[in-house]
Amino acid sequence: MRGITLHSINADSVFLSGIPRDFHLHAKSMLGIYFRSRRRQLTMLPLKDITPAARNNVNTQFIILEKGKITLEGGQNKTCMGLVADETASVHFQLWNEECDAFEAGDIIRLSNGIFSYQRGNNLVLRAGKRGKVEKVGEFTMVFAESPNMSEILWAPDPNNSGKYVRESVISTHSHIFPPTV
Amino acid sequence: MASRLIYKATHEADNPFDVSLTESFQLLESQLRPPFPLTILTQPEYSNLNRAILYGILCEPHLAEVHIKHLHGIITDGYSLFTALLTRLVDELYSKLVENVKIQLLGVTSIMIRVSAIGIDSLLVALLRQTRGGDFSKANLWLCSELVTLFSIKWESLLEEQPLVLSSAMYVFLRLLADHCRVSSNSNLDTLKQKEIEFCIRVFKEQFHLCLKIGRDLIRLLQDLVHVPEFQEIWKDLLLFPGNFKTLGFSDISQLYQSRTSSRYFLLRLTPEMETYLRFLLTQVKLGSQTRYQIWFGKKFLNVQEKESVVIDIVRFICCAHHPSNKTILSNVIPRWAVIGWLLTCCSKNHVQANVKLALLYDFLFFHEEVDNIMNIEPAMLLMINSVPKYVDMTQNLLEFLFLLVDHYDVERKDLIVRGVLSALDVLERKGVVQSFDALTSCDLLSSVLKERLVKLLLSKNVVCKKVILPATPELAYTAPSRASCEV
Repeated sequence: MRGITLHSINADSVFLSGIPRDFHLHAKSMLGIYFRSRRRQLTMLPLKDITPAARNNVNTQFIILEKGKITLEGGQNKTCMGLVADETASVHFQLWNEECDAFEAGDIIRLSNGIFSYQRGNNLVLRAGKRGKVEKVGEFTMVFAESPNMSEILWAPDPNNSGKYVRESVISTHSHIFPPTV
Repeated sequence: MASRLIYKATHEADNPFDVSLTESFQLLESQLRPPFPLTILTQPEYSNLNRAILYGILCEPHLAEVHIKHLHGIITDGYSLFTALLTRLVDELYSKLVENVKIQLLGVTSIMIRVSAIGIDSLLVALLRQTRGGDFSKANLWLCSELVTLFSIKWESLLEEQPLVLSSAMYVFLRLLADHCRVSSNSNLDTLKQKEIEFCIRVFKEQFHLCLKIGRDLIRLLQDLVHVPEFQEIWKDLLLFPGNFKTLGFSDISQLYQSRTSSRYFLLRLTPEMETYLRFLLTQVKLGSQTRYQIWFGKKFLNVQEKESVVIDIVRFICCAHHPSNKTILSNVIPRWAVIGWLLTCCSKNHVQANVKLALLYDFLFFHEEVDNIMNIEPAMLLMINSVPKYVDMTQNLLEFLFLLVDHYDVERKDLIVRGVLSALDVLERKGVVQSFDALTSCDLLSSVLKERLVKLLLSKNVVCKKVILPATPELAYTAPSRASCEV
């Protein structure tokens, strides 16, 4: 059945490609509930399996280990770098505008439709982006691994698969921005 | 629809329980106004209607009377589902509830007492657990005040139906009083204090058998109230005129000393959230990875100065209510003694530190193998042994405190206390928690006075304990825990 695979694809694109337009309008609210409940059951991607890509398709859950200083970008947008981790790996996560104040170290966050990509220069960060969403789902009760840090891996374009990346080497086992606490 | 039950921060995920109550209400809202249909409900319909009415009572105060009438009309299970929903609401969401909802919640709790709802005891315990010692915020003092009033007004019916809940309430208010009596007075707090004192004194005077139910920790709590005039008479009776309590079988305070306090009392002083975090720390977090968790826990629960007195309750909880499985003991999960070592360093005030040490060593004083549990005394001993040599100050400090207690805790009953301590040391060695006490008696870093005292005590142990030969119990496969240094 079509619905089984729907959850991993952007809802609007499915409606417009496969279902008559008026049905879309008619059943929007009902399907909205359906999609909301489906999204809750999305399989979470372990952080060790994320790879850089120009797509908003990372669904994962992690705990914030540390937050850096909040800075102003372009004079108006606040950003804040954080170290986040799940039980498989850690990664640098960029908080944006009101997200900077909404979350604290120790918060457990669910990221839907996030993006893991290069930002200015060689900074590889995970973030919600314009189409993604971050929500606090808990606190404290999550185990984590600080190493490997997925932002500290050197990736190279996949020769067999254009637009994809493969691991080339490990730059550092731990974050160079947030040194490990002992 | 935005929740009317709880405050939700931006970027906070929906709470499933809040959503389920809200959805039931939305679905059934049209049926919540008279005339009420008389149809017989299926189980799912019944559950849904309970949730909808609960939401109505909490969020529509102006219609609460109608909702409550409706509730009385449909109930077929002695209110057990309804009180279970209320209990879950308190456990999961209390701190987030909107103020008006809290007021409604206390009101409907009172009604549940009146109708003798099934599960009312759990609901009252859940509410008691939400009161916080050392928290002088208006909201917290309001809850303390509402609860002590509720327990006083409903005294008769609770006594008849749920006497044990009165023991629980007694434990909570005695503990709260210790904190409330420590701050300089203001009129709000004074009124509350007076109500708490009156309630506790009433239990002592009218239902002393309920005090006996608490066991030895009753005395530990009373000690902090020795300067409160109303309790001085109680102390006098306990020590000199036990007959004044007119309770059959009670003839000496040592009977209280010798009765171990049930672990459910210790849970009463921790919020469910705190309990969850601590149990997570003690079952999932590996030794060496605990630092961040300790920082988060401290920031959330301990860092405000007045709040640190909760460490006393946490240590009692860890010793007596959180007993790890053998699998956990043998794993590299952070052991209880290391967490307690860290907690001791979190206390900045002397009186809190002393109380924490008392909480840690309390069961040594009255240890009796037949009623006491070796797991209650294990953390203190391992903390002393494993702190040598790196944190030898900790060992010195605890050992000194133990001898101080032996000498001064109850001079009239020193023999009993010496016997308790000897019996504790004996069982710790016999069951293999420690291979021997050599690590202490031959430690160059410990003061020689202390070592001499310990050697002397251990010698008398051989005399006293030789007669008691008990088979080693197989349930505790106690291989010596790794002597990792105390990570604090």
